[in-house]
Amino acid sequence: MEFAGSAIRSLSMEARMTICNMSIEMGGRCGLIAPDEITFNYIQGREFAPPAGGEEWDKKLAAWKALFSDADAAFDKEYHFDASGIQPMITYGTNPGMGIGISENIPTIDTINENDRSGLSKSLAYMGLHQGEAIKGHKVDYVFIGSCTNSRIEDLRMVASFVKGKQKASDVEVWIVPGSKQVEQQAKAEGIDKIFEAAGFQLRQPGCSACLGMNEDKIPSGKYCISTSNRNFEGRQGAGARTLLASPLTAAAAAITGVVTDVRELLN
Amino acid sequence: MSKAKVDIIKSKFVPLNIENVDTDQIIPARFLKATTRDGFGKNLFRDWRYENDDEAKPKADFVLNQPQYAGDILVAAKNFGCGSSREHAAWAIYDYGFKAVVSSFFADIFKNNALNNGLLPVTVTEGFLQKIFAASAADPDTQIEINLQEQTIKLLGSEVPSTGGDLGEAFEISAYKKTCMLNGYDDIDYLLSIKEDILQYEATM
Repeated sequence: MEFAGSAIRSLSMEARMTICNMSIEMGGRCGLIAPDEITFNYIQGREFAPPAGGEEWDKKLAAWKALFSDADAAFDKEYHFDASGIQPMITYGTNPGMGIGISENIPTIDTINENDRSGLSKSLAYMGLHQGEAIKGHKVDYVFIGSCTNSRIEDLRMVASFVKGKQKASDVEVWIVPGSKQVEQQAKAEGIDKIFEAAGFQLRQPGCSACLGMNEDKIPSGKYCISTSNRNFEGRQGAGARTLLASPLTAAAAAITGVVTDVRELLN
Repeated sequence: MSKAKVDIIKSKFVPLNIENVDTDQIIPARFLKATTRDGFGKNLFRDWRYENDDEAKPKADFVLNQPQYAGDILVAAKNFGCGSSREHAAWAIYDYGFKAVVSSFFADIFKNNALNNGLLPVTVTEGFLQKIFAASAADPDTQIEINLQEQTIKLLGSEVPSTGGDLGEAFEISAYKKTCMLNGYDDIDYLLSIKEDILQYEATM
């Protein structure tokens, strides 16, 4: 599937990667965004990229510039969204499609699409949540900022600039897991690790970590984890773990307050 | 690695009437740390099968723990195999003993993993799927017959409600994957099976 439009074009390369990364949650094999100046600037100077300004670079650049869908390209389906109307999102259920705006209430069975009804009661029973209740203000036990979806250097910088000078809530465990060793090194070089440490966050080994609970980073049964990863399936973060998927900033806000929080209220 | 040939599968079936079954349920991530493809079956649907991960405490309400349901075929509600692309999901279902999975929609990657591992995914219409579930609710001994050569699937017998006879429909499968499954080939076996043609073609180059 292809993502396009002015909101997409205004995004950084790493933000675009997050969106494309989530394509599979809709059943897509891959997601793509046509390359533009932001893409070319991102590639320039990176390992394995041809030296900028050289003949090879110019040749490649010309080829990349041809990689876009024709204006009259036919798609099986097209969806249009007004990005200005999208508030910070969070999930309440056990698949990534079960999401709402942070200030909205969990849907009731009669208000959701008929196709989505069968799983609602089962999901909410697993999550210990109820139809029609608010998600904002709900207690959080763990905060996981990590995974291939949302733990690039830009995500960590954003979180660091938000938490600088703040302290995590005393009853919340906060894990920061860089998406890769490279990101970890960069974060340390920029002193971001010190900001996390001062806030009471734990910087853990880069890797998949609590995204899927394959190593020791598991969420205990029945506990709520606000997580920047891509999946909230039953038991995904540990047997019985309850996952609320959200963005890095929304997760960081919960780390400070200890409850699901609309980060915009803390930014203003 | 060659697989058992698949042609006609005639068997009772296990009805898993749950939508959006994701691969984390099929095989939880903590069991992915293995170096061979064998032995995943005992952990199939692990957290839906047992209380607190304890094999001594099977959950009575889960279909794999209900002795009236058995057979070579798993029938699941729509969007089966969504989520993580782990190939282990197909291995686990196959290793448990299923030869085919029937649903009204498969997640694309799961479907291909199944086809690559000797597990036949059969996509049926939502209407037929509901008839299969209804038949099994009426009589758990109801059998299904899948004929890969003919690309048909049938509910067998007069016990099928409101029909008095067999009820079935045709299904689609890629011609290449069909050939592979009929012969028990994986992708390499297939190439080896046409080795003479390849050699002859190369001789003309």
